[in-house]
Amino acid sequence: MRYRDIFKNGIIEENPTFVQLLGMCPTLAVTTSVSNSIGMGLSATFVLMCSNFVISLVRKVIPNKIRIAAYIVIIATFVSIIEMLLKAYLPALSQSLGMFVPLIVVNCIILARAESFAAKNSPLPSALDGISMGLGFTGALTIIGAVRELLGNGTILGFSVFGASYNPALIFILPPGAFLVLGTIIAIINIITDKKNTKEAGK
Amino acid sequence: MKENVRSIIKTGAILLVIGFVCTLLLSLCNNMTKDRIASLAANAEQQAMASTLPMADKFVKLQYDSDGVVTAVYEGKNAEKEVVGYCVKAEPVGYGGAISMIVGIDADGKVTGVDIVSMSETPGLGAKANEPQFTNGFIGKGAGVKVRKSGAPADDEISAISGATVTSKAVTSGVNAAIAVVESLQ
Repeated sequence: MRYRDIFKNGIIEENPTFVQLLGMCPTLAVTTSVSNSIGMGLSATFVLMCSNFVISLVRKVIPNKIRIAAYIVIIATFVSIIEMLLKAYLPALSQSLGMFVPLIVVNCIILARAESFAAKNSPLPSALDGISMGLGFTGALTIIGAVRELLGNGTILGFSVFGASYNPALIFILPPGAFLVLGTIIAIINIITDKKNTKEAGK
Repeated sequence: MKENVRSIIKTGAILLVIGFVCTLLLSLCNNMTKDRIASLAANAEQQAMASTLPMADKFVKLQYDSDGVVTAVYEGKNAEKEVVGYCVKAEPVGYGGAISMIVGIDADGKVTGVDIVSMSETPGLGAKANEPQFTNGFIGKGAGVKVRKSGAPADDEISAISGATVTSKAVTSGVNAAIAVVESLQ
């Protein structure tokens, strides 16, 4: 029962991107294409799952004073591992993501979940929370990436959707476009959530 | 006082253990992957040379001290051991850092191909530099290639990537440097 709630939480109720507004930096920078978004999201999910699991395992041993330092060392280790694995086995994706893989270390989502969940719960639920938040992050990135790639490049996953005659609105693959798309999506989500809440309250 | 010292030592010791275990994991992963990463990089360069100077069978590295942009020069020889051209490795600075490229140049000093091996340019914009649509524009050009932002390019010009002038100029400067080095060798 509890596992189902934890899993749903990261994807919908407390979606790290659209609800908690965490990890905005990589969200805005990496979502220029769907493949980059998925690659980044899944890499971050792997790190989230591993770091949440390990931090939960050692949570009783780490003194409160040094917990942030300890968490960052553990998170950085997993990010370095995934960076090496990507370079060795998925070099094309590693090239695409470039410097954003090392930046996963300072992705707020990972530190936030370590602090607010892994530090207070047992390993398996923590790992699940990591997976859930990671998938929520990946889903959010993919949606934003799809809009930006479609409008700013006329393609989805590299496949041309509008044909060669489409003159793409370049702004969508530039930073301002990232803000515009993210803001609009959050606004739409808020409108839907508000409507749902007033309906529930009115019952 | 004594409690204070004890807790400080305990904190330091725990950090030491965490650091040790993490470093151990990292060095294991590094050992596992470093050979493969190195061979992938070497392969990428070999493939780039073969694709930019297709008439060559073998590449021989020439003695050339890096001048900042051009970092290595390879002589391309065919099956009859004649020199058919050169592959020049250039690393001009683009928008997001160095752009590592291989430029194939034939014996007449004309470009036969450009292959971008690695770069960190903006995805969707500068990153389009390694698409054939852009790199093929350099084929056949001689010394002094210029960048044209809009309109049809002249014989000694290439079309810049829309929205990525810095990247386009960087790649062009790499190509020009390569051509200049080959000219100085002949």
